[in-house]
Amino acid sequence: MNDMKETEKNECDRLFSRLPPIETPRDLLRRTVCLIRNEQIRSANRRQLALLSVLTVLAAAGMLHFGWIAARDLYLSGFPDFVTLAFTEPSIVLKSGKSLLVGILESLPGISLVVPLAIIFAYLESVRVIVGKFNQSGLTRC
Amino acid sequence: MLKPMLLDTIKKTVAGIRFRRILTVLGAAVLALLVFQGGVAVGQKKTEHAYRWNEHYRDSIVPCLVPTGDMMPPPPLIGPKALGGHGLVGDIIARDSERIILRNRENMEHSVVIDGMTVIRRCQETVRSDSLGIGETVTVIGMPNGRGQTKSSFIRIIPKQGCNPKRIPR
Repeated sequence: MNDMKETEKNECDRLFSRLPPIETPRDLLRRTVCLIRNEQIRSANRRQLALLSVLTVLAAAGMLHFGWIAARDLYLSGFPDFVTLAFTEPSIVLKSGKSLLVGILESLPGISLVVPLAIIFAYLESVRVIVGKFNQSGLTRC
Repeated sequence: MLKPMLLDTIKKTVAGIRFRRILTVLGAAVLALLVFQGGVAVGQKKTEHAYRWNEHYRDSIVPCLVPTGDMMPPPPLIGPKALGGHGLVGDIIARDSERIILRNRENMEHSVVIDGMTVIRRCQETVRSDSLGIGETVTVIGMPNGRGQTKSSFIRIIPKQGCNPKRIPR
């Protein structure tokens, strides 16, 4: 087995010794480094994209769930009715503005609204960070 | 000689990023404290009214509901269903000459006092208190009267078909 390998090696050496010598391309190192760098950037971008997709799915699921709860609580509290009243009855704003304002604040379902808003904020902040790391301009022609 | 130097130092300090950060933190703290205090004040009013409502439930609401047998026990005092006394939305389930009983969307009854100063509107039209019929949906704005009731200053009747019903083509 070893003899066979040795023979093949010798034959290769003989073949190369008969061929004219080839000069190594001047920018071989630069191109190799460039290609490796491009591949690293593409790989990092694929990871960021996968992370962004997972986050999008999670955020959408969270928004569907907590958004529905917020919409239900808004309806039950009557908050939209008081806001509508404030915009359609200028006289009530002048006459009982304080009561209307306190009524609007009392009916605001704060906790139910905070969760979907926090989800939106966290998602947008993640998108900002991930897109910031997304390196499209780093890709160069090799 | 000293004064221009001092002024220059102050100018540099004021223009610096550290000074801007301090201002931002101070502004955010003031805003957060204001919002917090506002929340505490509103929560206090709401809880106080819920307590009064619970305390006077049997006097102010039960007598109106007993004849029809349409009554439910008062819910726990403190909780997410704590009632606000300044604004109410619900259906009228009982009434007498000076008050109406509303059932809100969370199935809680509330007594609303009507007097001569109460403005009652059906859409944009001002109507008399006789128009407040059982089954009507209303939005009420008023002040808690300390007996678990709301002294109304404004009531809007919300018609079932809306304020601008579509015209039926001939």
